[in-house]
Amino acid sequence: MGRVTVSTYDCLVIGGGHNGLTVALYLAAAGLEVCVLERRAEFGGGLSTEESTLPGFYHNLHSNFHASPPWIPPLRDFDLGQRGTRYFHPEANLGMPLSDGRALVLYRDDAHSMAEIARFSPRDAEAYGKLREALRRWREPFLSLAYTPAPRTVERRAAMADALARDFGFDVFTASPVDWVQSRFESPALAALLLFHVAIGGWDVRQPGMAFLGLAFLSFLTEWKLCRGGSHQLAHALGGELLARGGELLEHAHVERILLDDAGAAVGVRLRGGRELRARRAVVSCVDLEQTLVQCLPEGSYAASLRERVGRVQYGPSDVLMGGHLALAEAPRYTAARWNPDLQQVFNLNLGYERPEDLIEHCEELDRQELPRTPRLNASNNTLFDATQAPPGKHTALLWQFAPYAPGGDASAWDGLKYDYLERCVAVWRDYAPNLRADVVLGRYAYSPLDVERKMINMRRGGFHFGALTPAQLGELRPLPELAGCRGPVPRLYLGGACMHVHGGITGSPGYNCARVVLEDLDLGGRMPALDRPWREDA
Amino acid sequence: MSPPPLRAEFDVVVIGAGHNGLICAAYLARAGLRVCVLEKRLEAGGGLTTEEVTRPGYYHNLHSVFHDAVEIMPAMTDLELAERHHVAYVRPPVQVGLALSDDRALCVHDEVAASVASIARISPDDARAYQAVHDRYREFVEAVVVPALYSSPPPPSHASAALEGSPEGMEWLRLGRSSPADVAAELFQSDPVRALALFQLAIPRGVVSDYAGLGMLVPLVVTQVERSHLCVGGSHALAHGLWRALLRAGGVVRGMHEALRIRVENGRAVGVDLRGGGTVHARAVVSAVGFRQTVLGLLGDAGLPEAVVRPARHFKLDEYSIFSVHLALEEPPRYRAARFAPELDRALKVGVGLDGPADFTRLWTDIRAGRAPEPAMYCAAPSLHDPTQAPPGRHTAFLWQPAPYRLGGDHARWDHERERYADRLLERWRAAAPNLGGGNIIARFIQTPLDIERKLSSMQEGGAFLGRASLDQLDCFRPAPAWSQARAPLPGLYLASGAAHPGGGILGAAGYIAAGAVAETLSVPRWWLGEGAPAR
Repeated sequence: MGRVTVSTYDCLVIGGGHNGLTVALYLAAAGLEVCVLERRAEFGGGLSTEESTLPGFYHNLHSNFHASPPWIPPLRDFDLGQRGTRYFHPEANLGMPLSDGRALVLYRDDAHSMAEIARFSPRDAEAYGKLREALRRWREPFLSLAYTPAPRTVERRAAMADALARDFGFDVFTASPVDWVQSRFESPALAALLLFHVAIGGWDVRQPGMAFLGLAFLSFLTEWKLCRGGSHQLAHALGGELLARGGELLEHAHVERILLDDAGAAVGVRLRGGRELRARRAVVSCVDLEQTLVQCLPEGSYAASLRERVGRVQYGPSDVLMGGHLALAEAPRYTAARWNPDLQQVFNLNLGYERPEDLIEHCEELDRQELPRTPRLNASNNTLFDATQAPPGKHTALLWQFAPYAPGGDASAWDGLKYDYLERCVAVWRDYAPNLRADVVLGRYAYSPLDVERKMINMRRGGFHFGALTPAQLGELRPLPELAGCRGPVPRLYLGGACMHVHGGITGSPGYNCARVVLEDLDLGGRMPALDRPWREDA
Repeated sequence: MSPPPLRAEFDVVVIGAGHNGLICAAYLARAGLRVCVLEKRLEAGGGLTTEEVTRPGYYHNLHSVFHDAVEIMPAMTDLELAERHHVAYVRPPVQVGLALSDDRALCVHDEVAASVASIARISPDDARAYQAVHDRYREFVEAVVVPALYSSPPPPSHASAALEGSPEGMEWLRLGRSSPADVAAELFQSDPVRALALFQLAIPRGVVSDYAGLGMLVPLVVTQVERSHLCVGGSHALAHGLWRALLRAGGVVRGMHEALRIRVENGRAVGVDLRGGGTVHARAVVSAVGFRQTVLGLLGDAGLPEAVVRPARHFKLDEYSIFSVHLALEEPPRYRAARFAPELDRALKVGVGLDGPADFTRLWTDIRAGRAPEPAMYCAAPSLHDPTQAPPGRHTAFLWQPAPYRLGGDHARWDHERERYADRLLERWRAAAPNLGGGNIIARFIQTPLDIERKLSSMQEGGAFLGRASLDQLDCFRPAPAWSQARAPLPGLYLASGAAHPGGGILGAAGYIAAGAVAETLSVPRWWLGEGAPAR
């Protein structure tokens, strides 16, 4: 029964993150022989879950908060629920304690949220209700933009302009998210919480003209979900399904060169160590632009001007985070739970951004590549919802702090300061949850933007979007206008990573869109499942 | 709408996705059975763990490293692990080195002649003895000893009867009444050569040099039939290969699904209840976790007869665990003794602080007294042989120090002593390899015996071998007479872990033997024995 290893496939996919696995799954399902090449020992990319503090305590080192699962196409099309993919969708979804002892919690249930907001501002409660109604109407149009390759957003926006303006005001096209939100809500806490939601998506909330895209992201408000068993479980499901469908998955396969034929078309790759693999029909790169175009493609294989502009793609700073992971003897208990006991059960927490100005202060510090003087955190206590992620009775906690890639201009400074800075972050958490004493923290793991880049070389300068979310790097301009359609600069090369539309994060969109383009080009478009229904709603 | 419940009916459910569980599952899935593996942890692989614990890009094998049975393990060929599932191995030509305190060294090479030449520089007499022992037993070991690893153990009288017909067999039986230390002393004259033999028994076999009745393992080591390999990409790559083999055969692995109890109905095992709710029903339940865990934990409230439970209560765990320090390095260790034997710097495993049998005696005495032992270490730098385990030009290395689980009678003391003991061990290593200082160490990671147990619950008390490799717990007595044929004394239940014959370590034997027992009971062809073709 022995079979010689096949080193020629129909398609090679560079990068085994969730986008790479997604492309490969659709290509394999369409009957193509596919092989995914992953540089690291473990596939999954940002879907990484590790016992970084102590044995038995599982920490999501990259993606943790997943908004998209009901719509992620492969979950739906390949029924990955049968491979054990499960999501918790906590009712108290997003919230914040305030230093004055109050707390604001947003629930999946709007009436519940409005009642809580009314304790801050009855007017805001009403405005929130209206915003949610409008956003609900717009969710599907926004989603269809996300799952369309290089949508002509300018044209589409024009077509939708009247309707959008009716629902959200004309300034939705011109204002920054900060201005837009502040002009509609009087409570600084609510404004800060809504802007926090946008900011943790990696958006610069100060950017004029971004209110529209901020809104698209706001349509996922209270949609934060937690992957049972850790984010890496989704990687197992994607990879397992790929194998079961005959696909290949190679680890420790670091692609150093994309091989071209005499006509300049992509026909294979060369790995570190010299091994070559051939692709009869397509090479799909799901890694970052710099690796694909500058490191893997020879100079002169495509326009020098394009190569030069790849070097000018903007990275960060709004998607650069320092992580802090804790093993805890008990869950944090918040003083402000006296105001609203549900605060104890909030999934996605804002600790410290109490007014929009707090967020703007951090943005400005990041512009200067300074460590935030006053840490303010995005935090979660996953084990409240998923007991599998820690030993019985114990807990994990994670914090994310917006941080510069190179504090004071020197990235290597992180190695010396990350644990001290983590202590400062934990101290901020302790201000809100006094039981986080030293004896309750059983283990800690500081994960700097430099560590992020070391582990995931895609995440250049530590950013999870593989390229900043600026107006010039979004939609049909992402990552660069001539590449936005998922076709690379040489024939038979395709792009499907987080540097592509829609952006980074666990959406499946870049991979799904790329698979559509590849299959269309191979005259196999009919084998792509139609995008006509959500995966499924959660319980 | 919630996702529909996961399928809960299978032909076979396997508890534990260590290498034996995966092997058993993959054989049975390819026999056409519907197989589900339940794993408490996120990753499959059990002791096949490889993690970036020091710094991203540096891969450290936290449990098993040296895979000695790769060339004799049936799963490698039957499951086409290399051909179809991308499992690759390297076999370093210099297998073992002892860095002696007087800065001499001796090495075991892939080629016996080279081993003999290395030993000759220490003791010409022992070099001749080594060659003679090798020549005398090599064929016998290949023909008789190796096959026994991958078969259900015969009753003791049969085992003896099979041996007593030949002079080698009779001699093997005689040595098998002695201890390794005694046999090493009988066969070799010099302390370093005796140490060289004993060194290869503690790890990877879990055999202490004074264990009565295991002396024949000394000639077994000298035959060099089992040779150490490193799994390319780290030990966990073997787990990935087995996972691939299983999934491609239609099996499923459910990570983060912990078995809570084996469900027993009408006197037979019928499924597994999960922690957090839910049951997986199956015609056969295979436990690929520890013996005590299986009986006292998973079957604990099944109301089994005392005769079934008692052996588990008395089952002896490993007598020692391992304290390890993993390093991310700028450059690999360079030994002072490499001036005497340059190949030492390229040896796969290097003994430091183990110059002679007295060092082993002291080591076991310390361990039995619950003391942190004087440094007597197994050291290695895997990235020397497999560059994928570190960033280009950089290195990974580790030291293993056999150590007691209970330090001064209290295992919790490890949490307080870890840094200090690591410093002491590193200092001793640095005395042998002076470049392990200054800026060479980029980062380090410590794992105590307690950490091992916390991470891998089958390795109770930090024991890597899932039960002591003492004569009363080997062969048809492992883990207990009524359990020794992979079948439990309870219909429908099988045992497939290192707690079963032939024991712990990456042998791939217990899972293989259990697969045969399950297939036989469920009347599906054992395709690997030529009974029909495997399902694809």
